[in-house]
Amino acid sequence: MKAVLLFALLICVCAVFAELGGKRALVLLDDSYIESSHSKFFKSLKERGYSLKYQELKGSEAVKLSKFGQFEYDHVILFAPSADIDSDEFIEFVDHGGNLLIGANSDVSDSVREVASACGIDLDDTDTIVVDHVNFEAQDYDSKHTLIIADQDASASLILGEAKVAPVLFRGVGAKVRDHALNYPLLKASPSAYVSKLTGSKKQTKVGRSPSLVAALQARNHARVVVSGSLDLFSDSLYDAPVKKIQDGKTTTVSERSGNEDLANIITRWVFQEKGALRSRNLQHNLVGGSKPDMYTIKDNVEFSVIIEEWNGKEWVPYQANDVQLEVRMLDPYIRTTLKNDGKGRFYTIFTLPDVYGVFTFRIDYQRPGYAGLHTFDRIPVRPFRHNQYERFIDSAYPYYAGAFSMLVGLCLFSAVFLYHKDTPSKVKTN
Amino acid sequence: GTLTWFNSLLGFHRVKMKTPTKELNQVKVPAKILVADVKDVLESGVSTEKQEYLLKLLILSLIYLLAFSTRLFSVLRYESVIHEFDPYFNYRSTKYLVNEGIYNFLNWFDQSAWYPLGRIVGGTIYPGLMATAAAVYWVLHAVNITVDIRNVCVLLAPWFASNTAMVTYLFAKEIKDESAGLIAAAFIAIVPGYISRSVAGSYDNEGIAIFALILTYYLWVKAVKTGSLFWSAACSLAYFYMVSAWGGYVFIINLIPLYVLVMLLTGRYSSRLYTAYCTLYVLGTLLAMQITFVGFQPVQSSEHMAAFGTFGILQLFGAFNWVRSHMTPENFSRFFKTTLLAILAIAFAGFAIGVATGYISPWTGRFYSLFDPTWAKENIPIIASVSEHQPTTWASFFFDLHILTFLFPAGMYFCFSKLTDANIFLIIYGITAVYFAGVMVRLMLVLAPVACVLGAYAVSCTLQTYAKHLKKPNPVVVSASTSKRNITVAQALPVQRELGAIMLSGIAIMLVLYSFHCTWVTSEAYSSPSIVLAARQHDGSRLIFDDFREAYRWLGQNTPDDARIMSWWDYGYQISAMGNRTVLVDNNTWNNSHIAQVGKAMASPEDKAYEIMRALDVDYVLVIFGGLTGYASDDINKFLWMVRIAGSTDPNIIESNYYTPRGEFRIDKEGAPAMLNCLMYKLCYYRFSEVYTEQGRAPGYDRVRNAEIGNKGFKLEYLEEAFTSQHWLVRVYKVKTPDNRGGIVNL
Repeated sequence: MKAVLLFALLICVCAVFAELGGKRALVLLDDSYIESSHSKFFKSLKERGYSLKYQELKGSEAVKLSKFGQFEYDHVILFAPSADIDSDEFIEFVDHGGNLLIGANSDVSDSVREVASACGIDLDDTDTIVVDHVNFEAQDYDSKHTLIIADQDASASLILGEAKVAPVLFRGVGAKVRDHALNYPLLKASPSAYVSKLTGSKKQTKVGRSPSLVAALQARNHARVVVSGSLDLFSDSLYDAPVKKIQDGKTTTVSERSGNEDLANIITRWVFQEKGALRSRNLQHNLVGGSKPDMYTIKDNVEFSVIIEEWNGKEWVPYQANDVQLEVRMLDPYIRTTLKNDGKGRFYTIFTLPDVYGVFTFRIDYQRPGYAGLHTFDRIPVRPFRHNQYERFIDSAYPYYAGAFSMLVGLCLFSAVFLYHKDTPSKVKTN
Repeated sequence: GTLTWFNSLLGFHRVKMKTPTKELNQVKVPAKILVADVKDVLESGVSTEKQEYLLKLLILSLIYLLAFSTRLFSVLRYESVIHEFDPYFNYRSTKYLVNEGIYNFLNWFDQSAWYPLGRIVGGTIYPGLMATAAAVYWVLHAVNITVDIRNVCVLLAPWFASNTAMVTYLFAKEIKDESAGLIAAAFIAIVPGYISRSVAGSYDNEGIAIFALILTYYLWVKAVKTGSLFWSAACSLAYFYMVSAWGGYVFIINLIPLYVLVMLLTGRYSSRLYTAYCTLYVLGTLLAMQITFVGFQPVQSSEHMAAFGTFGILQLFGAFNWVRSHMTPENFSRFFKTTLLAILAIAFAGFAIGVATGYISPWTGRFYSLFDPTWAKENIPIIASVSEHQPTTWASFFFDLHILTFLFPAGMYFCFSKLTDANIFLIIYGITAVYFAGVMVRLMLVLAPVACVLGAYAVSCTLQTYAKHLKKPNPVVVSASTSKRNITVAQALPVQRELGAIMLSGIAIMLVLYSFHCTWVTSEAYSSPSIVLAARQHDGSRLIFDDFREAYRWLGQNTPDDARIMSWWDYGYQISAMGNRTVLVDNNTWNNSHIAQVGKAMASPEDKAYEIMRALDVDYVLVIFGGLTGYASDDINKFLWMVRIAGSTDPNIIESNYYTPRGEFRIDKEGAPAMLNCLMYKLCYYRFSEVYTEQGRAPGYDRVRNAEIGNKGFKLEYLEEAFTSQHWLVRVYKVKTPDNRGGIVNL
């Protein structure tokens, strides 16, 4: 029976993570020329084993992501900023674990904006563009300084890995990212950037570091979404372009080749779940040297262990970290301890339950930028001592024991004396 | 099987109800006269004593049946169902006791109550009731009567009411005589003040506690009368049973010391009193401490200090008496002064040390509430919120006691006119019970038995006086012949016999009225189970609202086994007993701050409430809504108490925010914004604006508040409707899990 249950559980776990490693990707394009203008981007995906299906969105042609209630793709690349799509279908796709990469530009349509906004990333108004009069690409000198040079954001490096990426060239729309643990800005404009109307008056609407250029969502169901304000960021022309900057009237070369390709690869690897996917299984706890009871008793020593694994693109391998924490809580956390890692993916600890009864939750809530959130817990009641679990004889009670027994003996003596003693002196008195 | 059994009871009941309630009082009350009549009727050679004995037996067995059967209205009208709120917990724990045995019951840690705190049931209840029911169950099963535990629980209170009537007979007999005993037994069998707590299905502590209370008092009077160790020990056993059954045992352990003090002050000290009290105090205290819930309270808490102090005073009194008999008066006076001072100094020092070390904590709420019983309800909102803690009105005195209200002072008068040790006890019991019954409605229960005994005292004295007049046909002659000699004697009237007849028939009419009133009150007021509601339709037919059980069953069938249900505490016991689901708070209101959390969630806007509910792992929220049917005791009407209780721990919840600027509590357009947007309002009135409730009114017309609701057509963001019962009395909502993409929920 147990084996059957375990097997069923295994199937469930497999079903949940079935999409991991999936390579079916749908590419949605405004115009088929993007296929050639972004050929390097698509080529690198193909080389990594993705089967790409291209679809050109023209007019009101509807996109069908699912067939008979099943989504046919693992990933969707939405490089059709101006297309009018059914935003609900895309949101549902994300809610069913699908991964989504959106490339936008200044013509972004309302429906695409809706999808991004549902993921916590609010793209700026249509016909706006990010402008930077300090950090702009030198070739763009006579233009409006819309091809800007962006450096990586500090928080993004956690997602993107340790490798430092060369400055990135960006032309497109900015975004405002919701302040939420699930959202991260990946690329931000330099402080001198601002958002400007593309046409008409040059009234600036946003200044400072607030415009995010590329932002990500790590959904709770492990689905991932990346929204890039610039579709051009992935284009061949910007892949190969050198990054030149005008400083003090002179053109200096910052980098011979832009970081766009590296950034695109890192983004696709992350958004298509090739890295940073975590799972936990086999959460176990039991008495030290015993089995798992229906209820623990206060002050019990408990052994706790859980297996955490990371997806390396091909298979699940033990996760290596030393910052996974266990929280034992009942309204408030009573114990918060870092789990030891045995190197084989098993995280474990031994702790003593507090002297408090109640229904306790043993919880692991592991949130790291770039990693899928791990939230796993088990609830178990902790009961007070049974009437016969208390200490039988305690030192401080010995005076009372002595008192009770001396009283007993005294009563017996008194009774004996009272019953058998002859009161002779009284006779003398009467005499 | 059960049903036919009840049907047979029904038949029995109908026959009995018509005759005994009226006749019993007429027939058995003038017992002494009847004996004479019966003697004429019976032409056999049975002696008077035997006839008297048979008659008494007949009367008592009729009372026994009457007390039981008059409490069965609810079972006959509805079904064999547990009533109200607390009885559901008692029922659930009795089932646990029967299934798991005594030791597991003692150690029962209930994980499904007070989530996530849990509750140690064994150590937080008076187990007497469950133990009694389980014992009955085990005995019946031992003799192969396989009765369901629910039926044992339902019928336990009526059975104990019959037993109480028998004990009251003994008590009154001990105080006065057998005739008073019979009247008292008849009185208490049907007195509404006691029936309110002991109808079938009202499976609560009070049901058996009154039996234990009267038994203790009977044995106490007996012990004082005889001065026998046997009766005193029996009294302490009865006291132990009372302690195991009800928190009201504190009344006994304060009343008896008070009585002892009064006896000392009135110079009625005797060695009988000394023996009785010392035995009771020592044995009773030791026994009481065996109840886990009581624990060390008998030696520590202020409620028990009076008993302890009296015990000490009694020892001193005895000691001084003994010393005095061996000393000259001058020496004794000197000795008395010095010893008394020394003792007082030692006592004061001990008290001071106790207070300083915190061993004795006199200045707590408990202490104040002992001297001023209204203290708790003025200072603790959770106590004030319970309707049965309100002061008693005159109307309810009359409603619950009827003629006993007037017979009570008459009985007092007769007691005072012939002071004995037993009468003094009755007087003190009467006075204190009246005081407590005036403070709280629920303590009417303590007053009812003593009112019956005092009433019986009065009736029996009156009857005895006038029955003599009736029996002797010659007072006219006698009074005429002796009128010269006793001019001042007023009763020397020529119409003695007629006067007697008038008095007797007057009393008979009163007693008949009493029995009519009692039956009517029982039938109309005290026999509704409150879990099933009934209303009369226009055509006079009865409409049954069974929404509560419908909803609890829904919970039990459609939610995960470990689902946690948040509701106001009133419904906690019912949800856990009938729905078998975990609740956050229940009727055992031991943790004020946890209840305040629930109150705060109910009083907060949806997003704030969601944070609280997530922190407490709430899966479902249950509210009671009467706006569609006109059921007045719903959650909106209780809502202000939720606000008050929440406000007592969290100053951010301010009661006045929920009132209109003019200080009104309204739910229509004029209502305060905080009110119209709080969680409780939204859960009660969700989609209510789509319903027409009354002709000629706009949709969304609340029939309890008689107003059209002020916030219409709103959507719920953090919860979704899961279930609404047939008449919308119970509505259940599911708390949404956090949004996959972060969404609206910023958690």
